[in-house]
Amino acid sequence: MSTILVVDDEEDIRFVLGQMLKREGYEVLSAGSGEEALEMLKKTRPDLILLDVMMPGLDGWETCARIRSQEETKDITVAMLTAKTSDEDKIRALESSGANWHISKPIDRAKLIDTVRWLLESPPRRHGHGKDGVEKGGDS
Amino acid sequence: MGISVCIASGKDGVGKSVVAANLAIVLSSLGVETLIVDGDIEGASVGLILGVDPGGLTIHDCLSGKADPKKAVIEASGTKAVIGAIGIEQLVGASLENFPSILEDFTGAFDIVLVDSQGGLGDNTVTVIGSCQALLLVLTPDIGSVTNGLKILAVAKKLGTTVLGALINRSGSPYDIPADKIADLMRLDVIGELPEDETVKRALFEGVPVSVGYPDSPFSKEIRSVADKLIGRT
Ligand SMILES: Nc1ncnc2c1ncn2[C@@H]1O[C@H](COP(=O)(O)OP(=O)(O)O)[C@@H](O)[C@H]1O
Ligand SMILES: [Mg+2]
Repeated sequence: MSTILVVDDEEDIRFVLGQMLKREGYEVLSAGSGEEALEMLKKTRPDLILLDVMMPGLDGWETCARIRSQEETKDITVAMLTAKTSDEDKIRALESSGANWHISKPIDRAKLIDTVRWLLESPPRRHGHGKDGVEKGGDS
Repeated sequence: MGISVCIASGKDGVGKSVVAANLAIVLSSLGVETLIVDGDIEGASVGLILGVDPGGLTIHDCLSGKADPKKAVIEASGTKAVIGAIGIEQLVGASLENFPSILEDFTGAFDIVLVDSQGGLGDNTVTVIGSCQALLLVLTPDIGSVTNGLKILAVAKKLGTTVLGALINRSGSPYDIPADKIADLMRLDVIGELPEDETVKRALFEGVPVSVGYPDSPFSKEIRSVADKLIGRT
């Protein structure tokens, strides 16, 4: 079964998301900050990362950029999570941050499960193949 | 008083003009007084898609004040249309300054005025979107088209143009982003999912609108279902 890393500074959200995903049989890991997530990624290789944007310290954008800049983690599927979503956030998530998808909070259980299944079933996107040695922002 | 609906997209080549022209034909066949106006003044293609002779009056003649807009309305495949000019002299320097007032006149005389537009966020496109009461977003089911579509939605919001929904075109690949995911991300209704269909190209090649030449093709069937849904909601 696939492993999903949930990164959110709010414990309640980590818990709720974790419950939703575990019920579907996924292995769930969680991190309370971008820093913690990057630390975990040195040892584990989840199939999907759900990454909150608004976090103290490293925010989701920066965390995503670092995930994409490291050879071992750059191809992991990432979906950004934002509350009070603007079109600009979605464009940034898909275009410049290098995330694969965007999910708006509050999270609807059925849609989340469906989206997670789709992201896990999709072939992985290969990042950083546009220019020699230089990471691309996204692939749009 | 009718409604003006811009057919818009974040980039060109997604099928706006084909969709707009055929939608006009189908709406007309259902008894809705429909006019299709070519608002893509740099790359007009509605006339070509309808298969009409480009010799008559055009939207360019209306914009320059040379023609009375009512006189530029032609009939083709059962719908009414104002097509664009093809001569370079008319295209260079064409201005949309008079477009809002021309459109208002048309809207007074028809139930629905569909306005084909240029893709992207250029000045002409923004003028056309801002002149229309409503907008239908055409996109292909890929990331680039979705992100560029989001930019159009942001512009429409700013200009106060109502977004009726999205039409996904050229769908059918296993690598497509599914329609429900697009609807969820973009927070809008997907009114139709038009398939990739050879007959669209064949019809263009032959110079006949696909919904006329190939009414039973998958694309034409879906255009009819889109028209039904639109009538239900406008
Ligand atoms: N559903 C479709 N199936 C196959 N080809 C299509 C389809 N829709 C559009 N096309 C092709 O795409 C090209 C661009 O379409 P067009 O309507 O001119 O796009 P736009 O107006 O958005 O620039 C057309 O020449 C046509 O060949
Ligand atoms: Mg066009």
